Amino acid sequence: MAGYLQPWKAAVVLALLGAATAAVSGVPFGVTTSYLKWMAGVEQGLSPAHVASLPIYGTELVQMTLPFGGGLLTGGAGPALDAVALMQYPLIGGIVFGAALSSYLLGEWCWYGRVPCRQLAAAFAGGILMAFGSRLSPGCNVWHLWGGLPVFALQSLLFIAGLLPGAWLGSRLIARIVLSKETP
Amino acid sequence: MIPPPEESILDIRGQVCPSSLLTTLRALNQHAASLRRGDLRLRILTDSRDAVSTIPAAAENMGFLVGVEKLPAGHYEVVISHAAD
Repeated sequence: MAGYLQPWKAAVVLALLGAATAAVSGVPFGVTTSYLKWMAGVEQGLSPAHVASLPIYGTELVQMTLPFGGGLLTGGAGPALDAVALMQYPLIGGIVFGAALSSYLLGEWCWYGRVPCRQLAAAFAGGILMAFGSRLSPGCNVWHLWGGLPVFALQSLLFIAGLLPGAWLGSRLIARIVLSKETP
Repeated sequence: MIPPPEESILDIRGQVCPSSLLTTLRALNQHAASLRRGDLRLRILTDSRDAVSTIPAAAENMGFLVGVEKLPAGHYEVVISHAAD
């Protein structure tokens, strides 16, 4: 079928990309710190003093030496365009625009709004839970499964220990939500 | 002469995995007897590319005959009917 990519091929490409990123920057790919950065950016406009007072926005999370003789670049969850932005923004852009381009090239692109309300609410609630979890861990499945697990990072192993029962529970819940009689 | 089977349309456009598959499985279970007798044919409209892989695999495992067609509008039609004897 057009547009179908065999999972093993995607896995090999992702592994090579992840390994190349870790080799060049010393840290794996991530996504969710960017969301915190955007939140910090919004809050910066409303209450700069509050942003400055929160330790999470001031903590340095990434410290990387730029390749080819470049200098040291640092980054964190604050609103600045830094190393985290350099690494994560292109990835997020690639996910969103790559998916859109793929559907456009296959003639599938369209706007469609008639999504069942319960599923919409479940997706929104799931997003909130995932965002909250990704700050507690800290890191999302991209960071832990793609970056931490290959090097057996203890933090990522703990993440997976929580991920498996969470996924089981989520699948039970989503089945009840989707199959509810109220769903059109 | 055997009358043509009735058609039931399940429009699940806008739904993504796993909702697409769950909704289809519910419909398959509800109409299993009619489908197996050949009285009914289920037409599923979906715009989820993943569903075009998962729904046929599940329906075929249940012994149904499945056809997939991409429509000019950009979405897909999955037709499920009784298995040919």
